[in-house]
Amino acid sequence: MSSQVSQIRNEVDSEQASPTRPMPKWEPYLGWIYLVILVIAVAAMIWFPSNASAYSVTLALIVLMTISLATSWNFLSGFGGYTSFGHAGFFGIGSYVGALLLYYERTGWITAVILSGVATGVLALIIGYPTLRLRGPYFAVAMLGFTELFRVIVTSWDSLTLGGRGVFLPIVRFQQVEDGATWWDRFQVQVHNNQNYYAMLVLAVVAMILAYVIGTSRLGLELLAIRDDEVAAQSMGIRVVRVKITAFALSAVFPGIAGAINARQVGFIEPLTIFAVIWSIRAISTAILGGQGTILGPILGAIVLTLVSERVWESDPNLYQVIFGGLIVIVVLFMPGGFISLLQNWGVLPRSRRL
Amino acid sequence: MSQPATMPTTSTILDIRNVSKRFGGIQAVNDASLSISEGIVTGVIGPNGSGKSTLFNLITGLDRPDAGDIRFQGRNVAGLGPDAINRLGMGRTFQLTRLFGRMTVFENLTVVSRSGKGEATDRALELLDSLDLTRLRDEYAENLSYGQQKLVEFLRLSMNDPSLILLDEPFAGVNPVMEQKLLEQLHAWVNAGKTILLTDHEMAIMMELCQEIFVLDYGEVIAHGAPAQIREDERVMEAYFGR
Repeated sequence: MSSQVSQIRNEVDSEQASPTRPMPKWEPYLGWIYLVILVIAVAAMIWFPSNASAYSVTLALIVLMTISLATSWNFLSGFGGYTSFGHAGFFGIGSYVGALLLYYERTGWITAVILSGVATGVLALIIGYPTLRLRGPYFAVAMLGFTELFRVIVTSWDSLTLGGRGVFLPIVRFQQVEDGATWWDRFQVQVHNNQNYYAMLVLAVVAMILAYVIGTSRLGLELLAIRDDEVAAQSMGIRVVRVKITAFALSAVFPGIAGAINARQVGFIEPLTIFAVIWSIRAISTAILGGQGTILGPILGAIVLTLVSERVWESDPNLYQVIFGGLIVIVVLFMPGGFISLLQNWGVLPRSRRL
Repeated sequence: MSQPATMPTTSTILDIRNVSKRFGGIQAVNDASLSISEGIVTGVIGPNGSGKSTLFNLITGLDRPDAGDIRFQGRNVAGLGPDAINRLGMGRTFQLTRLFGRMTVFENLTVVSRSGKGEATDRALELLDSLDLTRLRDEYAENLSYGQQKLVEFLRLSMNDPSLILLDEPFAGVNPVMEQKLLEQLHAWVNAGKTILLTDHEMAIMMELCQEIFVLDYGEVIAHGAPAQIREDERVMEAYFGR
């Protein structure tokens, strides 16, 4: 009898999960470490255009845009597990709101860019309410549908949007540095000539800071709980609809603004390319590669994926799509948690929510 | 067949009146009335498929009743969402545990808290300590044994100190040592004046634990009363062992 009991006790003891590695000492200071890195990185990025080629600046702008898109996609879809194909739709709407405000000369460009984000944020609030009741693949498909719907509306509302002809945006007139200019004058010219780059820098920084705030807050945890088991989350009193819509609206602001800045950068937009699903896929694959539901993952993914794909495209434009697609397949199959969870599994990184 | 008359008393915390729920061709709950008294342990028993889980889902808002009233502390909660009902002071566990698998044990507790961060942390640590689970605080919930998951689910519902606790088959699939731990927690709740509503197939435990038992069969309440009465009831025997 007693041996039976002790046997059961042994079973219970052996049931105990393996002890977790303790958090490293630097973990609580990660926020400050990030702040220092961010300040240094931003200073470098501010300085960067002063002696970089136009090509390098454009490439950096694309990296920053991808950071904004992937990081913001991650708010709802990474943390909350609601995969959205709607980023292309918001990107397109933002592009058109910004472009048309400038085309009809209604506002200055900074106001136009900000209003684009406001527009897509409000739009997300409106369509989030009905669609966020759908779970899993239904939500993904609904957002795909909305992207298509937006494209059709913009294409057919010819009198406002110029339809399929597209919109040409007023170009940024370059300034020259005059002889004997102070460094401050030079800097102002540099900012003026690279204003889209600097705007994208601001957007990416705001997105990253917001990612940290969400990732380390109750909202972030609530989203993770929804990802893991929405029924349980709701039964434990988490207001899931409110949480999802908040995350969705926040995540929609960034593609809107990125679209408007991108429209200025490329100078011409038309519905087919601007509402293309590839914008969603870019955001999704970047976030997955880096690590969904983490703060750093989408940032890391954006830097690696943009630079690698640019490099591959340069050397072999024909193979580009194959390699790019293959890379994503490998990531999804063999490291579904992306870089971050790979490094965590190797023991390089702790399982911190600050990552 | 007439419903057993259960007059709500002043101490009735949950009053279920003529509640029905149909799924397609199956009448899962049929005109059921149950009155749950405050501060005691009430059991709901019945064969598999008798409507116990559906009844729990109706009470906690996961399903909406087709007909009938569910009054919790005098307020009709039928039609409210699960989050709203939980916030009124009702906590539950699930037949198969539903923890947040890729979150740590500690996060599983703090995420449902409605207090500030510091208070939530203190509460979670205190609860973990109460069941000797502190060493698991940073473990992912999906890595826990089933029994441990049940314990954490118990603690999770305690985070916001609900007045009514619903436990859906808490002892199913749990080894005797874990069962003892679960029972300890249950007794702690009873001593703290909580009202508990639970279902289980472990007849011996139910008879010992519950002051009042309702018996469901084909979605209907076929008997209710003290365990001693239930044991003698012919309809209960029929429902369980056939005619």
